[in-house]
Amino acid sequence: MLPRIEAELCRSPLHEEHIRLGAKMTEFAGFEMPLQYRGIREEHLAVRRHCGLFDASHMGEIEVSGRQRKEFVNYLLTNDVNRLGPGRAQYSLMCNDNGGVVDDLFVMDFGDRYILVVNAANVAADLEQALKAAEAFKQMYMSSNSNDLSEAVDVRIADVSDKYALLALQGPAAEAILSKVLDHSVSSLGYFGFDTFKFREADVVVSRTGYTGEDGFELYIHPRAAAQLWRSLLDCEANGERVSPCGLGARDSLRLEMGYSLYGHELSTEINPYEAGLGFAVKLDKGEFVGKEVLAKVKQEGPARRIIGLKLTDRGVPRAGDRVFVNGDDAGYVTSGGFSPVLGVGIALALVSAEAASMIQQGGPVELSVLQKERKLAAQPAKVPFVPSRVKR
Amino acid sequence: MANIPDGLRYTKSHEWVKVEGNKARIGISDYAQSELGDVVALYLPKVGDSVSQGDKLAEVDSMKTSEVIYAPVSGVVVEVNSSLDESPEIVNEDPYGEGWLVVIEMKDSSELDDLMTAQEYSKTIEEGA
Repeated sequence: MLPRIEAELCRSPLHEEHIRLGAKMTEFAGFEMPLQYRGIREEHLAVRRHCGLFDASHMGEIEVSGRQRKEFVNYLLTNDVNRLGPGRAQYSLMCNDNGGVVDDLFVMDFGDRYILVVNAANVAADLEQALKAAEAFKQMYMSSNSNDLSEAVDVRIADVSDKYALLALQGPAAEAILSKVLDHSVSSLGYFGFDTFKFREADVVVSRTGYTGEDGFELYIHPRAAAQLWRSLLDCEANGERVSPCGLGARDSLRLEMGYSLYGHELSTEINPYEAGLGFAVKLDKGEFVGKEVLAKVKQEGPARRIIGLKLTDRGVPRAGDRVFVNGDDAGYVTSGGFSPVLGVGIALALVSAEAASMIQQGGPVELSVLQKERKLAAQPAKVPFVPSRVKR
Repeated sequence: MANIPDGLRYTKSHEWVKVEGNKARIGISDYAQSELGDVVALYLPKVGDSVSQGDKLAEVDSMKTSEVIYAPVSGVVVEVNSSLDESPEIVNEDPYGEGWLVVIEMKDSSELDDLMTAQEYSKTIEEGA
């Protein structure tokens, strides 16, 4: 049932920790990663109830530096980094010329450089897009500054993924636990803020971000120091309970309950940000950026499709690819489906026609179903997030 | 290490059979429940349904996947474990006991000879089922 693991897969710096904890491993984005330890449902509920710890070291980090780094990052991505300052991060999208999404990511402003935290599977594609955009940016910049020939464009792009292991500590007890382990309070860190702390001799960048909808932190640390931090966090007790190690299975079920996009499902080069409901991350009022022309048109005309949330009323679990029927007509497909441990029902995100989405939004009675093999599973529209978000705003 | 009790018969598709006179109590093995992960929903047949050996008998949804469960023997379904409606996780917790799925009144008990012993089943798992 599980695919055989091949020897060429990359390994996380925390690989030995997962094996020692008896993790069931799986392949993801060319990495061998833990799918689960005690079980997806148990890990999922542990995060909502107390605290879980995830290894996200497979994610990539791209550093952008140089004098024109700010202008370049604003050209490359859809959100506006003028809204950032040192110690702040934002969610952003990298689009292509057609307005399709190449990746979704976090941008972290370190003052003298930006770090883009990107999906593991897209690192190579992101770098390729960034280099291509850098060429176009240089042309654009030079032609608008042709009077000042001494001002060569200074933008440097580097893949620094190997420098960072990434741990995510998520749950209502995360602040107390992290403060204990770092021997320094993290309570003053605001949502989407980050700072650098010390864990023993190592620097650890702590950002108040996550992919679960709970309060939590993402911890960037040198791979050599990662195992120590991992173990210290798992050993830390609060309210008589320890931190649960959590795998990719729970990571997915948690983000699904929040309606967060997963690249390759709600986002791809065939899906634009407005279809995915991510218009808030596209700032058309800033200067030129890749995909701007197409995206401005989509915003003006309205997207042709939209992501909606749905909850099954029949027993079952919707899966990616299942067709979705609205009032008897095939209206689109499930982009991500699963079972919500909190709600006890199947839930899904689906990409449907704008007409179907409007019909649903109008709120009148609508017949909604998911076709799975030969079975039609009845569903009802659901607002996203499916369960309340508890991030520390 | 998966639990494989003696005294039961097993299929290549990871179902177990407990012979009770002319009836066969059927469930999925410990190996199967472990591979599936947390079971969240089951589609069981109805009492009175007829099945042939090798037919689709039931379906199971877990957090991460869904699988078909096949009839190890032919016959008529005479009992269905309705407590799994409310508590599907019993299949994970007690796959050979409270996690039984259906009882079939067998049409031809010689079909049991087609099934594996615990030792034979154990070997197939080791070899990578």
